[in-house]
Amino acid sequence: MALYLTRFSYTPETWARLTKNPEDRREAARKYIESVGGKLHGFWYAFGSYDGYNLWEAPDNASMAAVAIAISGGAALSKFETIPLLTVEETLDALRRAQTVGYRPPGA
Amino acid sequence: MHASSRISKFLFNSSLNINAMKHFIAVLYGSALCFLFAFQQQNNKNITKPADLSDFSRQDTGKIASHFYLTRFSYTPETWARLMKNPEDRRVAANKYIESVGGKLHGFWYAFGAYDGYCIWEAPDNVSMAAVGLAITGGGALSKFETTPLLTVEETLDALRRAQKVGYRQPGT
Repeated sequence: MALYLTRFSYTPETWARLTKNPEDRREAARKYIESVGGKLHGFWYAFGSYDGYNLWEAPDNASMAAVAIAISGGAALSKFETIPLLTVEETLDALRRAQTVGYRPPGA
Repeated sequence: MHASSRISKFLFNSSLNINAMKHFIAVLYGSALCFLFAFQQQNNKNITKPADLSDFSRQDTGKIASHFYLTRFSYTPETWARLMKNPEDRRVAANKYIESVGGKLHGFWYAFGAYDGYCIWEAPDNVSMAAVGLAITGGGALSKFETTPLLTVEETLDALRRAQKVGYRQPGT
């Protein structure tokens, strides 16, 4: 299982619809990710460049893409970006492996 | 064949001068490199088994699962200055780095526009790809370095089929 961060924004129509009919979208998000064998870890709305963020876990990239495609296909979002995350343990492992890569800057 | 004829020529030459010795070592070194290259090619075959070599975007069906990544990068002005003074094929370096984690370089281009260059490579997993990314960014020669995991067309077709079962409903409807 891998963790993913999704940054999204709703279209003005989606916000108008939600204003008329407020709804906890965490439930919907949980259902979608569970349908591919994953898990929702967090869901927040936010100030700034994106309307919201969520953190979820999926068995692989294709399962995560399935959820992303289903959501994007619904046309309720103006932005939708999914970033695969590395845990701190994975990054420590990567740092140790980076020592053996033997990098030399271009032209040096 | 070329190397062996040189070797026999060397062996039949009775006057053992230092230049001939240097030449012999160079030939030996060259054949060792050829062997090493062939060996690495062989290793790559174990990592990636694309159905058609001209289409590397096909999903690897070999025993070792691997993933494709797109890296967009830019050099610092100092790096460009250094490369101007000392031009170098960085594909060779990039290939060495990715192979050190069991991956493979598929392409390397310089470009006009927002990024100085792009490369497509394959790694066993995110951690191996991150190891290469960290080694490169730690070198301080780049001003931009962004790695995007790619999905093959096959994986996306699979995702599209799975998307049908997600049952999405718009917010507030």
